[in-house]
Amino acid sequence: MSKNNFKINTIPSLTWNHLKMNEAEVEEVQVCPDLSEVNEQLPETITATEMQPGYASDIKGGAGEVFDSKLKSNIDKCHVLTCKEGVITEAPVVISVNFKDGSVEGRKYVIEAEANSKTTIVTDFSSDDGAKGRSCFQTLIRIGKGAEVTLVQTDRLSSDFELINDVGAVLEEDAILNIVHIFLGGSNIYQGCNIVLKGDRAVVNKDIGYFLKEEQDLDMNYVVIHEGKKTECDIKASGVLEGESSKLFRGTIDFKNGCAGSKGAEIEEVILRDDTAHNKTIPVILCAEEDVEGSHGATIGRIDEDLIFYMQTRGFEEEEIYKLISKSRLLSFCSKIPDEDIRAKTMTF
Amino acid sequence: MKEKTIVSDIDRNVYDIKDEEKDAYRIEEGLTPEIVEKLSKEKNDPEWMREFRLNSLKIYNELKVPEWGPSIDGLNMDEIVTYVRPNTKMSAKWSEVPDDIKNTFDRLGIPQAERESLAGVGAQYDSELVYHNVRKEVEELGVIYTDMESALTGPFADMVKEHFMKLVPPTDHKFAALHGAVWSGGSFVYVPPGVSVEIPLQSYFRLNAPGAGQFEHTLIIVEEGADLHFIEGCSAPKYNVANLHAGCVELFVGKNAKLRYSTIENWSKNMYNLNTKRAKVEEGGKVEWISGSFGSHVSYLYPMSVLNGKGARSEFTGVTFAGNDQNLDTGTKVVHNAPDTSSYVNTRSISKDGGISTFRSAVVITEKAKNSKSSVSCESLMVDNISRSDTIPAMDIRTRYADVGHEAKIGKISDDAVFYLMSRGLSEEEAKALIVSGFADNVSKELPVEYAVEMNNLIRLEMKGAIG
Repeated sequence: MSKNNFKINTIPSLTWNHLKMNEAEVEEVQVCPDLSEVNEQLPETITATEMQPGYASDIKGGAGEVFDSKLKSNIDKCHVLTCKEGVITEAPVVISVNFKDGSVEGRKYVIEAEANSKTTIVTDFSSDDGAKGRSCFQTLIRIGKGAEVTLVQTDRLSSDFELINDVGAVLEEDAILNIVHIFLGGSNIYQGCNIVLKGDRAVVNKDIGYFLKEEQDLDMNYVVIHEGKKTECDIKASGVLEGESSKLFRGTIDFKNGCAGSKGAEIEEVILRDDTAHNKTIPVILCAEEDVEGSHGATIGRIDEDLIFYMQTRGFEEEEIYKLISKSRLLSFCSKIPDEDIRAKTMTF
Repeated sequence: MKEKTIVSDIDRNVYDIKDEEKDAYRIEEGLTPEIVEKLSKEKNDPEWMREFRLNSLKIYNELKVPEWGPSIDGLNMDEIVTYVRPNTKMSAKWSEVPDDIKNTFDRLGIPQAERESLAGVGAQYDSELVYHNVRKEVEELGVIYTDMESALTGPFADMVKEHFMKLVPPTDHKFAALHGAVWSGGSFVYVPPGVSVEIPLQSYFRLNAPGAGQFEHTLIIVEEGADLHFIEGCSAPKYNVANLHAGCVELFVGKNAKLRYSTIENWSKNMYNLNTKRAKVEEGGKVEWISGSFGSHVSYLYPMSVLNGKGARSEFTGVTFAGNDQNLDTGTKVVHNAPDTSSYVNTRSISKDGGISTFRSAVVITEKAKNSKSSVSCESLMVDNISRSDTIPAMDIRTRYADVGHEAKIGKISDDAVFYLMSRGLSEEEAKALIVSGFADNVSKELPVEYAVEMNNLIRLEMKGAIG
């Protein structure tokens, strides 16, 4: 490792080093706080405050502690959005971030969803055409008893922009977290995500879609920790790799001792459209509890032969079939974006 | 409140009988250039092997202990004796093997198995083979089955030199380097082109000496169109000091050849089993790994297949049973490095009584491996609440012309199944043992019947006391 590099997205249980899947290495750069163009649409039911950079340090993201401490030392405040107990917020919170050329930035949000509240947050990352730079972005979420949060994050960055996007959440009893991640742009994208299902019957659903081309590189580290009884997680990842793009998906379900009755499932479907694309997948289950059901599955490579055959009988060429399936997958993810404007921009990116 | 049945751990009487070390030659403890030189001299190594050992030791000292697997802190190389030679020469007759050693193998059923169902047997006791024999009719086919030391200096010396540690170079990892430095014993098998060996060959490794290491090297070359089934068995009595097994298996499977390599490993629970196994498969060839891991305190075991020729295939079928005080990190690696290759992995792991089992795998499909297919399936069973079971499968795909499927499941023994079997008159313990045996039938059904019975006995014994 170079002297000025640091490790992020470390998988909770290491494997052979020669596979180069245990962690990602990123170059250290000095980040500057809040220089980008940020547009926040906050419904009236959401309270916005500012706190110290280290606020909510009990919630851990998936990028790792080194990233945490570097971000903390490079920002001067943390943005806190609170949804009060029992409040149902229909309109989504929309945070649109547009990066300028040369931006090297850090930004941190903490979402406090109090008991029995309901909130949706949409974060859209974009950058000016030809902009070069890097952003470090973190969203930490605390979800109270019976509360529900939906977090939708879309990446529409220009081809030379790097993003380290980190998410961390702790869920209390009967809480629900829905996460939708759509990766379309950027040069190097690092996504960390660490969810702790602390309370009994807490649920997390993740839908992860990626559509990469040229030399894009996507490095993901999704971790779900089951602590409470009868907790559930469902991770679905799906994507298409074109050109010389590469992607690494780390998905870990960690059943801690005592999480009896819990269920965890993860599945990934990857289509490689070019012979120069490179896919890495490592779906991990860690289990210290007898009474659980865990599963993971992956299909990688070509589209199912039966489906190809069926489509060919309907008059489609193989290349058309690949385009059609890829587009349908993208549309299915885009349909989950609650903001109309961002949905339209994402669909046409 | 549910009453717990307390039954002591597995009855390992037959494996735990210890022989006294009588007049055996023991090299001093530890690992230094002087000890390696002495070992090399003791074994009359050719010069290239002496240099190979010393170079491997240098590499060993440069490499780090892996940080990703189970802890091996309890293993102190300064306390391990790397060479213990029993006070006997290798023989082709059981009657010439000293009584105490022969009795040990008798109790393990090796001579009986040889009479009934094997084409040849090698029996290693500590660091050296004490018995080696192959049936005349197999020998007449041109099949060579001999100990590595004889092969190193005999008519096949050049072939051994050409292949020795070429698949598993000492730079591969720290314990491959250790093996390169202090290896002794093991078998060399050569099957000429077109020869099909109808009944299996077997090597059995017994480590009797406390605080010792066993570092046997198995080199098998199956030429074009040939076919072989090789069986490997291992056991040791339990001591209060750490023992180490760092063997190495290298398999060369020729064009359109087939090799099945079966292992039932039942080391004692003070054993650190840091074994390396690798096969290279040429065009149209096939390697089949059948692997049962029951013993040892800590295991790192991942048989690897390198599919190097068009249409080469590999199958890995494994079961791992981790009980009290065991941390078994097992799995497999497959590298698809040629077009139209295929691999199939099917494993089961069972964790019980505080045992930790980890399934770890890697499937790599390189740019060259167009139209390759891989399917990996692993299932884990948690028998109680104090054990642990992890699955860590990795896939690295570098061509669009590949079909890779992976599935894994983890869960407990179904209460409904136990209830049903109990309603048919089985006790809870019997019901669970039966379910676990059925769970592991992916391996037992691939073994010759005598070994399948032995494996099911091991499962039954391990399952004693599993209820509560």
